[in-house]
Amino acid sequence: MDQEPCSHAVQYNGLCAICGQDVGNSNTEEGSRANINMSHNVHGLMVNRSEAERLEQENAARLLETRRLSLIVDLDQTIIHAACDPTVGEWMNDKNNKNHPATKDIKQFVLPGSPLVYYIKLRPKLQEFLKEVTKQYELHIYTMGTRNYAEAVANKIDPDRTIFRERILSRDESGSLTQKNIQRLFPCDTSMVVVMDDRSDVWNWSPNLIKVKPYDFFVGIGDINSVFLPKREPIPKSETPNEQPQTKDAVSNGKESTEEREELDQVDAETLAKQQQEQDAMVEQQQNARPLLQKQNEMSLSQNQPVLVDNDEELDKILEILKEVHRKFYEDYDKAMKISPSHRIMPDVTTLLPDMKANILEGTVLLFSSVIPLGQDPQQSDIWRLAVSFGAQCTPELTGRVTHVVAGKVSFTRKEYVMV
Amino acid sequence: MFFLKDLSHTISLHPSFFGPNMQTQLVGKLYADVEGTCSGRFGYIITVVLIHSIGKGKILPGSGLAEFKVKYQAIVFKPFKGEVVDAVVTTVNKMGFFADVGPLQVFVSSHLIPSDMRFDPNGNPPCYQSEDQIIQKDIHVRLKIVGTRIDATEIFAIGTIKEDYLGVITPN
Repeated sequence: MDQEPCSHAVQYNGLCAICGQDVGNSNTEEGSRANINMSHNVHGLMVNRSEAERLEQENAARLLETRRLSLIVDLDQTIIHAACDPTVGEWMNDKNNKNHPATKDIKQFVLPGSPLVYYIKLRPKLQEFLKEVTKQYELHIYTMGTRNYAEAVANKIDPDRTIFRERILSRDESGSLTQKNIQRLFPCDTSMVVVMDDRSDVWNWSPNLIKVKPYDFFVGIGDINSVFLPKREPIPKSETPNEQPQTKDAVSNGKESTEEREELDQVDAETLAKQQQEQDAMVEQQQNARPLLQKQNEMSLSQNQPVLVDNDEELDKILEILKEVHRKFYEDYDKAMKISPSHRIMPDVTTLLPDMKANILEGTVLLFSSVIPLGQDPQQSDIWRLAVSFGAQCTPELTGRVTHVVAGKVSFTRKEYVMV
Repeated sequence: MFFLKDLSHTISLHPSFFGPNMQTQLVGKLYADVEGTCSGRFGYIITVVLIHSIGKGKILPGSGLAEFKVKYQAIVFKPFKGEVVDAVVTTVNKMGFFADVGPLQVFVSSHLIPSDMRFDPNGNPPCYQSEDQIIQKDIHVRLKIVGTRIDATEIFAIGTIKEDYLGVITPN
């Protein structure tokens, strides 16, 4: 019988999943044809490029039909904050502790084979956020945590699995311990994918990324699953212990300096209120470190304020942004559908999102002072790249063109320059 | 396919077990060592049926452990190409589904699922669905193995349900 030979487009552990032939491992010619792993939770299942494209087209058609986009969310410090510190448990049980009120919706679980208790705090308004966002997006979890951890967290935030279903990708299947890659889930077409993470470096500053402010509820714990990742760039103000007096000053002056900065903005450039807001959003990055010091202060000085404060509002902002992206995408899509198919340009999140970002700080020239650690190439630093992606120009030197100074602490030399 | 197979296994026993209960120890250790294992040559050893003989122990110089050669009969399971088996679905995704045939995991690609069955990722759990049948987690299916790959300690298999009399079955 004359039959077209099988292209071995889908392979499972060295077996062609279509004709059942043994194609050997990835070193052989036939075995290397399928080299893309795009399933969330299965080892050893590979497809080739055309099969991946076919699967993605199916997926895209389905999403377009229901007018949705794909959203990849990170877990740690993005939608939850996890800690293993047993003091959390103590605070939860101790009704008289000043931290008790904030612990009321902390969920806890243990993973099989370990006595360690994990405490997870959902970011405020997470349930509302998920409920809203799932109307316009299909959600995927992509975490650096282990499979068990990811499943356990998913069970807590989405008990009946209606939001994430099986779309969970963990460290076990990721294939990389230091990088996250959209191509891992969407190998060919990333035009309908939005990513939401608290770190942009692991995504290699992908254009699909919306960077969120890290959720730091358990102050000073950080991301329990990022031990493999390169260290987050140290945030100024919380540097080394021997600089303590200085940093303390910076904190007490923190509020002041923000106000002063706002004043300077008005005096210097008379920029739009919108820009100021965005500037504040960027300054928030520095302020992230403040809670840490609060904790420090409190331990040494007063006993008035609780360490755990539940006042994060990031998800509201992100929800607005996501809705906006969705609206713009389908606006463009509807327009494109009216044009004949040959001239049609389909909307693409990878261009849409950077365009949206670039408008925000357009026309500003930023100077960072005491923000980027010395000895680091400023152009490679997170905040620099972030500012540039938002359309700002950054400069290492104070020139007449500088419109805004982002100051980590009140530094008189530079401030005076600005005054002049 | 299942086979009744005569096999042998060498057990090393620690000196602390030398004594009146040695036979029970050896039998227990045999069960623990071989049942549930997989070898490329014989397939999965499902259960030990009977023990033919336990050889004389031989003390190993140096460590003091004794080596016993045990001959036993076991039921083994080895999948073959073309074999039709019943399986329980474990995972369903857009590329196909996985089903367990006892210890063996079989993958059925979406290419080998009848074309009237469409993947529905919004089902809870996700499923393949046609007018008269649905494949989702924990459903029983009858499938035909179209290919196996046998490593030294692992067996992988590919199945199809795109033929007559294959697909969802209702357990009696």
